[in-house]
Amino acid sequence: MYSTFSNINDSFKLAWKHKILWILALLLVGGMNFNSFSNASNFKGNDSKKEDPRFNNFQIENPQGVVDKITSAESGSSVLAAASVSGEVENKIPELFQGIPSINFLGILSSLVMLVPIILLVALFWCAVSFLINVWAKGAYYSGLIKASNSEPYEFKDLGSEGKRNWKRYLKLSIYFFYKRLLSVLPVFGIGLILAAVNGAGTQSNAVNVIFGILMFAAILWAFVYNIRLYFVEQFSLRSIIADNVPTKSTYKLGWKYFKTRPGKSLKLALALMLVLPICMLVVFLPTGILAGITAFLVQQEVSFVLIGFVGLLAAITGGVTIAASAPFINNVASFSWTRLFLFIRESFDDKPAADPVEFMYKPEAANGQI
Amino acid sequence: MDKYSTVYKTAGFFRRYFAMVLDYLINMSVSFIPFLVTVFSAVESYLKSPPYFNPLSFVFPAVLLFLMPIVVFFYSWYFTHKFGGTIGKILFGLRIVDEGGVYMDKATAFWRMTAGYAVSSTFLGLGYFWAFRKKEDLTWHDRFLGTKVLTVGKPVWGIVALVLLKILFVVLVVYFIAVTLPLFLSIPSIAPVPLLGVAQPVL
Repeated sequence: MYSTFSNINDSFKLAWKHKILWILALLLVGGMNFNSFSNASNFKGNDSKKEDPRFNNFQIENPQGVVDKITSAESGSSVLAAASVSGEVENKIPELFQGIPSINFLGILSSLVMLVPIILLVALFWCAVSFLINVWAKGAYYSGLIKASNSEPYEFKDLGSEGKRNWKRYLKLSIYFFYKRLLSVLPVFGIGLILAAVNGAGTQSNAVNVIFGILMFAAILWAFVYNIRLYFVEQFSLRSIIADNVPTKSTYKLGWKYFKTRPGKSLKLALALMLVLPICMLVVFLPTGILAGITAFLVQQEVSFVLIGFVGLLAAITGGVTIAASAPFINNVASFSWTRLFLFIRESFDDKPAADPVEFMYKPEAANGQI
Repeated sequence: MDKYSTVYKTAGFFRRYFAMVLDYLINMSVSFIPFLVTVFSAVESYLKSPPYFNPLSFVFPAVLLFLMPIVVFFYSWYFTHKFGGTIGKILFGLRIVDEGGVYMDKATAFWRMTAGYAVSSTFLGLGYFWAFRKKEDLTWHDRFLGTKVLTVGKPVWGIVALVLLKILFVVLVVYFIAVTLPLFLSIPSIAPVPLLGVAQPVL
């Protein structure tokens, strides 16, 4: 018999048992980043700039000396020589920069005009590749979740084949959900736009503002509730693609059907996961926290640098390993919970779509429960 | 080509690693070196005569920097599909085949290059080291996509190319340190602009 507690309990066991799915879970939560190298180098660059002693407290002393040096140098390489002289800056300093050439704004502008579209196109290309990786991983991951929940055997290759087979449908579904979410927030922007137009036209009145304020609040509230419901629907639709094998739009409708059948259970599961998963994270990160606390204590006690460094390094390694292992594990627990709820709701239907997908698709919508 | 999977052995980790290094060096030499050369020439022209400097001369290196990885991506995809591997792999006598023992189709080659490598890169690249685990020498991307890398010849040309490219890179680095860098350091620079009337950090 299904219960939320037993569902989460079993999900922990399944998540621990099926470690292959950790790989895909990590891929889905963002373990891989095309731009990681450049980010690292950027970070290093910023850091090195901050630490560069030339940028700290380097002041020109004896400004008169600077000016004299410039005026005596007269031409060519005088600027560098002047800059090397130390002195405190006064208003006479503009003379130092008379030799700097004017900036070619037109050239810079035309360079940017040429570069920006290329950079945007390149960014778009890598975003598209990342998105394709994501939809492939979804196909492999949800297939693995359903097989694991049904205690069916599977291998790496089965998951990869499912990813290859279903990526287009996951792509369509992702776009479909994005479109639905976008539509849900349009009223908010629409009301804001109308309000701005009304106020801009000069017909400002408190009553109008209050009415629009209420409308705006209602629209935000509706969008919030709708998006929460859409999250539940998405959980079921993502699994329905593999389990029911119906077209994308039917998958979306099926998602609504699954959600509406047992909305209480979905809500209960979401709340339970919101409570359990943070506690689980706290427990998992306890060793890292203790080590970080010890490091802070050692720093306070001003013990030897080597000892602080060693304990700090240990804390960092423990934290890194914990993040790498716990992120996919926790994600798997949540995913298994939703999969088990999905399978439970699906089994409760009299008319199972997977029994005969073709017949199911050709039935009137009212008959197959899509309305 | 079906003979591949039955006649030839799977390639070990180290041979694949060196083939990958060779590929990196080849990709670097066709993308990064032209970028550096064009950037240095642009910077040099700016330092020599700032008033006559045209900012458009930075456009070409920037375009190179952004576009070359995409060119390399498509080249790798095409070669993997058409010839069973990139130049580095071919020179090391390696061929990637699918479970049927033939070169991969376009779709499999694409997924292997993108999703496959992404999968193997998770957990600090554990998927690549998975090749050590069993006798099949299969990484995670091989396991997920049902592919394997076979040794079809001797790695002599690969080693020669690797050594030559390494020498070339060492020569370039030495040339940069010994010739280009002093040239740049000898060109007078321009001091940054501090705000007026206030003590400001200055080079």
